[in-house]
Amino acid sequence: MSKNPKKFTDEVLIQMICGQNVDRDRALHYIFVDSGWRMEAMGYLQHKGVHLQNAKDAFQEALITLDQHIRSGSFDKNKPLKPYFMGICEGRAFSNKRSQQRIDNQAEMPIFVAPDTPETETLKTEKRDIIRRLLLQLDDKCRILLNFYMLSFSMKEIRELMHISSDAMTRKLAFECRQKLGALIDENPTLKRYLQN
Amino acid sequence: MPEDNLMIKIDAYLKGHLSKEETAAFEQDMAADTALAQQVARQRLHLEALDLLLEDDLRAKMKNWETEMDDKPVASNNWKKGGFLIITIAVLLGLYFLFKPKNNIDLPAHLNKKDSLILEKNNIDTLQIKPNPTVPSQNEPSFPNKSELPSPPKSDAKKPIVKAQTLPNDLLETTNEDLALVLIDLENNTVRRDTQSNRLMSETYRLLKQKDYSKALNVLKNVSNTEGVFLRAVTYFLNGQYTNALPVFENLVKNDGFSRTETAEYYAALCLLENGQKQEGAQRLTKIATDNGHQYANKAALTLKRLGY
Repeated sequence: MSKNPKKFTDEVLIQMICGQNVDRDRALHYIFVDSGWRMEAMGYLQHKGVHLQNAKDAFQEALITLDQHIRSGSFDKNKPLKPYFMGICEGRAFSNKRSQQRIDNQAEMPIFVAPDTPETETLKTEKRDIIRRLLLQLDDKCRILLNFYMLSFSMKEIRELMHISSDAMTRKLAFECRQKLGALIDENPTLKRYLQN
Repeated sequence: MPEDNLMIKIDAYLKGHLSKEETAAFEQDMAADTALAQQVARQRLHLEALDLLLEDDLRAKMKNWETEMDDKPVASNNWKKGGFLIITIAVLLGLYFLFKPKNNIDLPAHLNKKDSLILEKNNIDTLQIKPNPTVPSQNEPSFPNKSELPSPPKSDAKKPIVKAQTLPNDLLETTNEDLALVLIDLENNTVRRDTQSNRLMSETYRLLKQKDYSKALNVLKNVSNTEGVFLRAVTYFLNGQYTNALPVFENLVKNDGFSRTETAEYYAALCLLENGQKQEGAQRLTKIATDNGHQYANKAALTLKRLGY
């Protein structure tokens, strides 16, 4: 799928998100900019008492989650995409709202929000901050290659996209980049502690 | 098993790419091999890191898309619709001016709109029609001969609302959408008691959602609080009545008790642009754009960029 589809049906969007980087971008761009979901979600969230900026943040986080769920296969392809996405949006918004101000009235909360304690949330954030800093130590080539790898590109596709001489060389490079990342993570004392726990 | 093959297998397991049978077998191996289990735990963390790489990449893209939404060229269909609308309006205006009756009834001088609409001090919400002090009021309503009347000053009432605009259609559309979001925010985050004034406010919000601007303005005549004044400015703006919107926004900017002065500042600048006061409008937008802490700094910068400043 390389051209813009005439109609972005659920099936097309899912296929594109699971596909090549350019298709994934196009599908996510469509959802973000052209689908009208953003306006709808923000209008709905604001109606529920969520501030404008928080609604915008919730929408962005929901798109990241949707992308992950589709790529990991945890999204049931038989379910309609939009209500699923809106559900995530609402969940994110309330979760964010709760972390800012504790909501006493549990009836207000959508049922699908995972009950993270403040401690788990802090740990998660701390871990992500460390990993982010470590990722910065990787060179650009490795970052791009690992990005493709995470998007489940085949070695052949990565070789073509990155103009690497052979599949074997691509595989070797991918392995080396993973080793570099692994070493950075394994040597970090905080992450080591996290692993032991 | 070579090291890279093991890594790929563990990844496949963690990503859920193995079949049921393969997963069961792999989990059995893990249970029997502590080193393998530890390697899986490490690789889980590696994948989490890689997910973060994708997430950050997507976040950066979304930031660009957000900017793009503010700066977006008109979609082809919208452009066609907009073009068709402009042509239709132009034809209708042409027909109107071609066939309009020559002997229009002019307003008597003492009811001249520009002179008689007086914005009362300290209460920008109360617009009152007062006789023009230069015209003695004792002898009304004797209409003077038309030849004795000074030529009527230009007023909004005689101007068509649709005119050559400064802001491109798509930008105006986005601006109006932003304003709609501000309204939703305002409506949902204002604590209200059940008063007549608040009932009128709710009615106004309902009418604005239906884009029934003239009815909304009628309702707002009976509301005198700051929120009502802001809504009036917004309604004028959404209805393309920038000349009317401008003084109301300007007054709100000066109102210390008003919490959305930055919004009023930005929209007052846009009104100036739409009223043809391009230099003044651009100056105000520049001021906003260069104020890093201003809520509308980015939007002002984008607007200026679109307008070629």
